[in-house]
Formats: sequence, structure tokens, C-alpha cells
Amino acid sequence: MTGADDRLRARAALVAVLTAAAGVVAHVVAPDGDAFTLVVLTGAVAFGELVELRPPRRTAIPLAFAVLLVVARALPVGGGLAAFAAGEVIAAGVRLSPQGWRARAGVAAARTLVALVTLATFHYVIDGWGNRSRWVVLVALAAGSIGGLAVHEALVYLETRRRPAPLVERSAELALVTSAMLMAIGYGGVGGDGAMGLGGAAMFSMPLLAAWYSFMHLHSTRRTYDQTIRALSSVPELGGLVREGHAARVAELAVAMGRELRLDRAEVDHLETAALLHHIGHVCLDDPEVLGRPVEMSEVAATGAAMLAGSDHLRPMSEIVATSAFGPGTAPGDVAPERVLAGQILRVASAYDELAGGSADDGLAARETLFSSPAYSYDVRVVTALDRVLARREAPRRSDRAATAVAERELEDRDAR
Amino acid sequence: MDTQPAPRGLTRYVVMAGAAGVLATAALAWGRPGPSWVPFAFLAALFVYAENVALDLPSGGSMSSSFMLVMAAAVIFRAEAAPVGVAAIGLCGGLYLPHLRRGEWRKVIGNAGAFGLASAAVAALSLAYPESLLRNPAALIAGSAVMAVAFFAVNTVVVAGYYALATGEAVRPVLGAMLRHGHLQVYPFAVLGVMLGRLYLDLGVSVLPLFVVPVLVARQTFASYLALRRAHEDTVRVLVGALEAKDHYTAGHAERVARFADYMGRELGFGFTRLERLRLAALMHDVGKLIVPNHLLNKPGKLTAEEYARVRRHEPVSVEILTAIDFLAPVAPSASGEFSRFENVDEERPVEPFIVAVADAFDAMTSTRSYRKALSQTVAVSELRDKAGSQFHPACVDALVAALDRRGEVYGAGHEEDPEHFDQPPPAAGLGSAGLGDLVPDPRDRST
Repeated sequence: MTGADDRLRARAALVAVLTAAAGVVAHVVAPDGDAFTLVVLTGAVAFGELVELRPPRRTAIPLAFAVLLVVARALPVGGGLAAFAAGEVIAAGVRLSPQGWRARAGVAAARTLVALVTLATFHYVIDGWGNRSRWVVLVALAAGSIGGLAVHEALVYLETRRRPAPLVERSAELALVTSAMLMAIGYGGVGGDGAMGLGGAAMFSMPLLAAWYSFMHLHSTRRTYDQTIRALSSVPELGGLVREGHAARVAELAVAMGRELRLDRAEVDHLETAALLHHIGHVCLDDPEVLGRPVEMSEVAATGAAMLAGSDHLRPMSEIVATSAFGPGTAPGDVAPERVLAGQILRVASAYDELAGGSADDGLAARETLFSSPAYSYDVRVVTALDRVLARREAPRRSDRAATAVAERELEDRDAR
Repeated sequence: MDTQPAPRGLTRYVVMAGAAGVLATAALAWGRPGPSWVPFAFLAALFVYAENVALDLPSGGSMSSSFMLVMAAAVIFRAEAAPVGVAAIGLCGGLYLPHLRRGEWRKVIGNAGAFGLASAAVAALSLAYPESLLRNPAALIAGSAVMAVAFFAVNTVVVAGYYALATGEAVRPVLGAMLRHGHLQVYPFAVLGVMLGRLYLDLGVSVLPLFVVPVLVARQTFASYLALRRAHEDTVRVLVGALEAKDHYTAGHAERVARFADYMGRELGFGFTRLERLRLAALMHDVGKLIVPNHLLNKPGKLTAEEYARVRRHEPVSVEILTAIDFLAPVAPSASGEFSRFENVDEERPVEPFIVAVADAFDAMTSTRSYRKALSQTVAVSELRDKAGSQFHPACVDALVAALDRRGEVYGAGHEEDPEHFDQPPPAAGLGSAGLGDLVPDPRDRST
């Protein structure tokens, strides 16, 4: 966990304390009115905006979306929207954001749109059915929550253009929707039973808080793990054994090629780590002046693979690094076909970066060299995938349509070959 | 099969515990109605599942949400005046599949007895709980804390007895250790459990998935976190292994420095996260040596000035690597010998680099080195005390000495962990592991 995380949590705690204090004041001043509910829900939205579910490598989901369903049950659309927007304004004021006020206002506006959809959907279903039986309430709650999350997802896509995660990886959303429904039921009950007011909503937020706690640890550990791999991948570069940035460039290219060749997500992750660490074996080898000959890349790969094989977790990466030392169809041992393919991807990506010297200007010559190499050196499928990935990267840079068309024709010619 | 000969008295203890669990359950059933089958089957199935997917925690012990289901049963079956349902669910605690598969019947019966008795205690307490308070959230939460204490106490006493008999250790220290650790995790599960029970009473079984799903997601995510944490440790150890492969003479150095740092951190009252950060920083404090060519690390002769400068680059590289990891960045100076000198202390600086410096120096002195055999622990401690306040942080030196005394551990001459390693002939010169006399060699020893 970082200092920024700690500061944000401290601010969230402060918002919680201030909300409790304001709630007490509201209760004392107007014991029979809705002021208490309004104040607590507004504070809960602000708190929930600062505390997020963070699925690894995905955009965070604020817990405020779970509070939204309680707001929907407690208030009509207009009142609920006002309370939610007020909570968002408070959160924008205390959020740690390096982007400044414009970005904060953008976030608040996006969240308010999600709130509008959630509240409107919930009330539309309830009013449309005309009764508040158990199943109608449950359907309305699910529709409101899922509708809001869909809008959130669409807004994230418009901002990042990142491919949405598949449904099987939506455990955070599943926890959020079910917990939000549970909290709303704790607040208002269903079918006339079980209403406990705000205390019930708070009590039934515990499963969601348990999920948040788990996701928080997973997120921070994932970040530490990724940073450790990247830091260690830089060791051969810091020792002057490899050109600066080689591992990071190869990893980026290998990931793009892995996706192009439709490796599954887990294998692409293995490939990325293997690419980052594929030169790590170099640090254990003697210098050429001591050996009296140049260091062979196959030695580097074999030594690195042996190092990585020391950990069960890194064994897939070890296999990828080991097979990257061999041309297509020549890798020894009993290695799964898609891992062999990952090894060939790493082999081509690394060779390309070494030939191009990290410079885009020399990229074309490097590609030509790879294409003209014997078939036993580099897998043709993989070299073609490299070509496609690089062509796609270059196309937007060309200034006119004609240039893009030329690039596409070149690509088709290559495919035909 | 349980083919190992059981320690004396263990079988009798296990049978008595199992019988006590069954008798307590039967006593609760006497003259009272039985539980409804739907909630009983639902909770018993979830209980067995929860026991079989318990998570091993990094701090030792394991975490299972099965207790939550006992608490849910306590609320549901209190309303039905059928406390036998609670104890019967507890008896399912013996159904741990690996034990059943391996035929470890003593563990099966022992667990059933421990859980059965603990659940019976909860059931008995629930009978004393006025039914009118079952619908009061505040009263439920307060009551859940009392029941949690009862469950934890009974379960821990039975398990501690089993453990003491099985290992031959004295009961009291085992019981003390078990009571100190692990009690905190029961309270959240107690509250979750009474809420689950309350939800069932109000709304029936149809809304229970809304409760169970996020709890399962939390459990799965926590399991992923623990797996990734192990993967991270593995990765760091692979790199430490690479470092030691370059320089066989320092085998085990990083692990020992991490262990001593951990001792000091505990002595100084560090929390779990801070201890973890300290341990990782200590494990990686020499990682920059990966850039030092093998022939310089093990050079059989004096280093030239150029070679010495090249070797010294490992410190800034170590700091750079640790700084690139957010979690370790605050303690990155642990890898810098200069920064870790106590003379350079100020209020703002974290104490971790000073801890690593003391651990590093202690291990360097109590290990055989290229220029001398291992010193005795007495000499090493005396050296640390002499330099406390100038080179070393006095509080860290005190913490190390107290930790070693407390554990009765002795290092140094005659107490090497791996005598074979120390039997290897040391290189005639070279840097060897970081530590006192290594990082800051006498300038007179350097050839120019």
C-alpha cells in the first residue's frame, strides 16, 4: 500500500466521522423529518466515492454505486439525485487527484449520470409493475444496479478505449450488485418484511466491505508484484549487459503479438513476465573476457530458464524463456503447444528489438531481415503477426489515406507471400 | 490410513472429545423440537464447504468462514427453540475431505468433537438469549460477541489439548499461543453470521444468495491475494538465489539478514505490513550485486580502483531497484551502507535501514569471510554495542540482542547453520557478502 492510499483512506475516515456528526446534529434539530436520512446518505455517497473496489488491471468501481440503491429506496428520483450529487461534490473536494478540478468535475458528472440511470430504472420498474411484492422489488433493485454499472462501463470505454473484461472476470461487479441489493433490502425490507432503516443498510454492507478488503489487498499485491518484475527486469540493463529499455519494449511487443495470435489471457500474462525476465540469466554468466568468447544467447536463455524454474509460480515463464532459444519445431522437452508458441513470440520480439536497436527507423530493415531468415530460425506465423502489429502501430502516424492504403497493400502482399 | 503410532493418550483424548461433542448435542436435543430441514441442510452444506476451502494465512493458522454459519444457525434455531441444530452443524466440522481421504480418523473425530462442543456452547448461550431481542440489530451484534468468545475459547482448549498430546509440547504455552493469535478473526464472522440468520428469519431462503455471493467473492479474492503474495515471495527468492549462485560464499546471507531484521521489527513492535516491508527490503538489500561481474565478486586478489568503483555501484543500483517498487520505496535506503549509518539519523528517516544495517553486520561477523573465520556471537554483539550510537542505531542493537536472548539462538563460530558451506575454501580476496568490513573496506587494503 502506498502513502497516497493511506492518505485517501484517512480522508474517507474523516468523511465518515463528519457524516456521523452531521447525522447526530440533524437528528437533534429535526427528529421527525428526513434530514437525518438525507445527511447520512449524502455522507455515505461521499465515503463510498473515496473507497473503491479495485479489480486487478481494471478500472476501480466506487462503493458509492452500492449506496445508490439505498438512496433509490429511500428517496424519489429528484431527491435521490440531489443527495447523490451533493455526495459527489464533497468527494470531489477531498479526493486526491493530480489532474485538478476539471478532472474531478468530470468524474462527478459521470457518476451523477450513473446515478440518474440507476434511480430512474429502479423507480420505473417499481412504478411500472404497480406493486411492491418481493420479486418486483428484487427485479427493480437488480435492474437499477446493473443499469448503472452498464453506463459506468460505457463511460470507462469511451475514456480508455480498453476492451471490456469478459463476464467471467466480473466478480467485483457481482459482489457490488448483490451487496447493493442486500443493503437496500436491509434498509427497506421486501414484501413488507425486514425493513431496518439505515442501520440495516449499514449492517448489510459488511459482505461488501469484506470484498473491498480482499480486493484492496489483491490490488496492492498485484502492483507490488508487477513493479518487482519490472524492477528486476532492468537489472541486466543496469549492468550494461543489454540495451536500455530492451526488456520493456520486447514485453510490450510480445503481448501485442500474443493477442494477435489469440493466446489466452493467462498465457499472455506469462509471456509478458517471461519477456521482461528473458535476459535475467545474463547476470549469472561470466563476462566474455573471462570466457574468452562471446556469450551465446542460448546460454542466457538456458540460465534464465533454470533460475525461473526454481519457483512453481514462474515455471510457465521458465518454459517460455527456454523454448525461445530454439527455432520453430526444435524445442526439446514436453512443452504445451501454446507455450511453445509463446516462446517463439518471445524469440521473434527479442530478435526484432535487437535488430532495430530500439529505433523505429530501423524497424523496416529488421522486419525484412526476419522475413528473409530461414524458416527454421523464426516461425513464419509469428513473424507475420509481428508485421501486422507493427503495421497497425504505424498506420495512424502516416499523414494521408494513400499512405495507409499503401501500408495495407504491403500487408496483403506479405500475407499472400 | 492413520498408520503412524499415536502418541500416548492421544487416541483416548480424541475419543473423549468426540463423545463429549455427541453427548452435548444429545443433551441439547433432549425434550426440544428438531430443527427445520431446509435451513439445517443449507447451513450444514455451507459449513462443510467452508471448512474444506479454508485459507492458510501468511501469519500462520488458517481462516474459515464456517464459524459464521454456526452463528447463523444460532439465530435461526433459537427462533425455532431447536438448539440441537447448532451443535449438529458443528459436528460436521470433522468432514474435512483430505483427512477423510487419508483415513486420518483421529483428526476427523477430534475436529468433530472440538467444533461440536464449541457449537454446543454457542447453542446453550443462544437459549439464554431472549427471543424478543432476535430482531434488534444492536442486541444481536452484542450477543454475537459473547457467543464468539465462547466458541473460540472451547474450540481452542480442545484443539490445544490435541496439539500438545500430538507434539509432546506442554499444554500451557500451546494454549497461550493459540489464544493470543486468531481470536480477532472470529468477531467479523460472528457479526456476519447473526446477520445471515436474521436475514433468513425475515425473508426466507430466497434472498440468502445475496448474502452468500459477496462473501464467496471476498473469499475467492482473498485466496487470489494469498497466492499472488506467495508468487511475489517466490520471485524475490529466485533472484536472491541467483545472487547466491554468483557468489556461493554468501549462501543464506540474504535469508539470515531478513530473519534478523524480522526479529528486530517484532521486538520494536512493528505491525504486519511494516514487518513484511522490512523483511522484503532485507531480503533484497544486496540485489544490486547482480550487476557485479562474477569474476569481480570472487576475484582471487585485490581489486583495482576501477574494479572497486564498479563493485560499489551495486549500492545505488539496489536503492534504485527498491525505489521502483512503491511498497519498498520508503525503506529503499536499507540498501545503502552510507545512509544506514546512525551518524546520519534524523527524525524524518524510517528506522528500517538501520535495522537492516545491524542485521547485515551481525550476519557478516558471525559468518566465515574471505579474510577471517566466523566470529563468536559474544564478539559480534560486543562489536555492535561498541559502535552503537555511531555506526549502528542503539535501539536496533538492543532489539537484536533481546530477540536472540528470547529465542535462545546462537550464531557465529561453532554454530554455523550449514557447516558444509563453511567448509568451502574462502576466496583469497574479493568483496563477498555485504556487511561490516565488506562494504567499507579499509582504504589501505585497496591497490591503486
